[in-house]
Amino acid sequence: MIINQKLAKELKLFTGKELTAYGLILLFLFADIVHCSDELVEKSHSIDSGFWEAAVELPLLLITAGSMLYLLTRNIRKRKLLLSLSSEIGGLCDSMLAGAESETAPEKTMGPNESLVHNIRRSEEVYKRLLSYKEQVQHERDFYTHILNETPSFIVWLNLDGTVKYCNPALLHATGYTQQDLLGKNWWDVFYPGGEKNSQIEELNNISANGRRDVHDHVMMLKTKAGENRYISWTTANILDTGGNPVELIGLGADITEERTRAEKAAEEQKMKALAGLAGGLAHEISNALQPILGISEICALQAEGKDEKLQESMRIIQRNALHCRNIVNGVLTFARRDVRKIETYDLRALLEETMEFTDEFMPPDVQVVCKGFGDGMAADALAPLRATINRTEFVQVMANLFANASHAMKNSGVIEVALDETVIDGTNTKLDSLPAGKYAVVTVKDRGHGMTEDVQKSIFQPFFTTKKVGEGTGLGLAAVYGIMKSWNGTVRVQSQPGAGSTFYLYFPAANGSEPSRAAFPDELLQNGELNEDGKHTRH
Amino acid sequence: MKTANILVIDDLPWMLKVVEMMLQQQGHTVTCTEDAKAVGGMMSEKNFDLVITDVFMPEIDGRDLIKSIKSKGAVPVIAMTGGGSNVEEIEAIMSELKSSADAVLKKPFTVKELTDEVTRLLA
Repeated sequence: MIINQKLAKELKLFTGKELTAYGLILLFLFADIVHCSDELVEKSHSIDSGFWEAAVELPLLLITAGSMLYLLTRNIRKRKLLLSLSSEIGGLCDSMLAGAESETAPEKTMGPNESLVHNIRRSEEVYKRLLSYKEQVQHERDFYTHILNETPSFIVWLNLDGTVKYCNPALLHATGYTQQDLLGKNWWDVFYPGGEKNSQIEELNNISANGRRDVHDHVMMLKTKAGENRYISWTTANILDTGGNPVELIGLGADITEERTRAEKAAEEQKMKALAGLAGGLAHEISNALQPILGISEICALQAEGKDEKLQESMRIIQRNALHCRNIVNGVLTFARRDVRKIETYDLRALLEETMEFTDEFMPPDVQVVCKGFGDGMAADALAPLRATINRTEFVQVMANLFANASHAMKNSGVIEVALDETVIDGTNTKLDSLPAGKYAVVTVKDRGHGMTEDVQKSIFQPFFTTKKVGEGTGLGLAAVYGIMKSWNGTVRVQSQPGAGSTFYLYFPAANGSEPSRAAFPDELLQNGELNEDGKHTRH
Repeated sequence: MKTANILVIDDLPWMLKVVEMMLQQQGHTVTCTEDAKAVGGMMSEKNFDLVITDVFMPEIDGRDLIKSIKSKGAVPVIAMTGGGSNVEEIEAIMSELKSSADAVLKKPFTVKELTDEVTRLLA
């Protein structure tokens, strides 16, 4: 009440209109101040625009309201206090504008009213400048956000113990995880489950100095949520505390899986090419050297017939082994083939049926070859053809080699499943990245034999690699299959597990448009009967 | 079995010996030479029922020799070759030889393979 009386006394100095005007302005100002304060509280969790505007506007509103109060009050002490506060805010504005060219003149010789106006102007200037800064900050923030979101590189922010603080969308997309899957989780636990975690950390510690874990182009395997292994090249930097000790880690990663796989394949193909050249040259020399061994042993055996059984048997052993060597040489020569074979377009469905009729003749009696995907009893002609441009003779060799291996894996007893299908390769399957994108016919040969370990699978297409006993296999059959499939711009892949059988996938680039050839069955195969690496099915 | 006079040409003496033995086993009369250039003279001096020649020889190309022999008469010719260093090369050579020679044998060949061709050509 007393305050109101004093205020009424002060207000008598103003006219009614003036009081109404000042009162309304003050009301608006205080409403604005309350509104700004509310916004600051509401939006204090982020620096979104509302927060920023409120934050920079509040001093301006305060100084304006203070100036208004100054004009309204006649109390010298209060006026001095308000003037002093105004000057303080003005001084603050000066310090904020320090270094920048101010639009307002210095305050020194001004009266109180001029000083108030001056301070309001300075705070307005600060307000404008801060808004301009805000736009710059916003622009920079958009820029960095864009980089983080759009870069194909992986960006990760970890505590040194591996707790994930941030992962960018590229990493999430490639690994199949969501932010929720990773944030706050341990990087090593998520990406290296099982026993791999410790070895990965140890490897990283070994190459980074003083436990800082800053590395450059260090390649690490990373397992995606779907279980696929990816090669990532990491470059990392430490975030240090005030004492200079590393506390966090920023990692920049590039997915080099495709590049690495391509390089490995190129090296593999180069190796195979060099081997082929070497093997081919050797095979040529061996062919000549085998002639006297084969010829003379045969003559001696014939001459010893009925006279010296032991000599005859000895000569037959030499002869058999010479023939075995001849088959090896033929296998080497097939492996060492160059890409100049006569190839034509065939309907694989029809060709496969013919091949199986032919090879069936040579399969062990307890091995059954069953077809799938041939239309369940429909004639091959009634189905849409799956065409591929290949060499017919070699196609039979490929199938015969796979059948012989499948049969051997099942100890010559069991069912071999053959299927024909088509697929589209679009470059997303890294295991087939050596193949250009497009449509492929896929012939599958599946057995339920002993299967193979991963190590064996890696080597089976290399010449002379064999798991068979000495004399049972040359290690050239699958090398020849590989060489032949590559020559048709296709490939061969294997999927196997010890004890669970093996499945071989033959990928043939689909041929469109041209009519499939329907030539007679390859005479040379019927004549020579050289179907597989072992020579088991040869007819001489 | 019909026996015949057969001329065998190869630059490798031991190869000649082997082929000679294989043919003699079947009762044929065999004349061997390492000198491909002398073949013309030998054939004008003696009538051979069959010629068996190597393809890759240092002094003369067996393919030219075959063409020369075939141009002079109707004597059947068997070409024998160790081939090339890969299947395409071998097939290209054998395909070329098939148009000029009457038979092609890829080394190493068996007595039976040799005999089958000789018998066929002498029939």
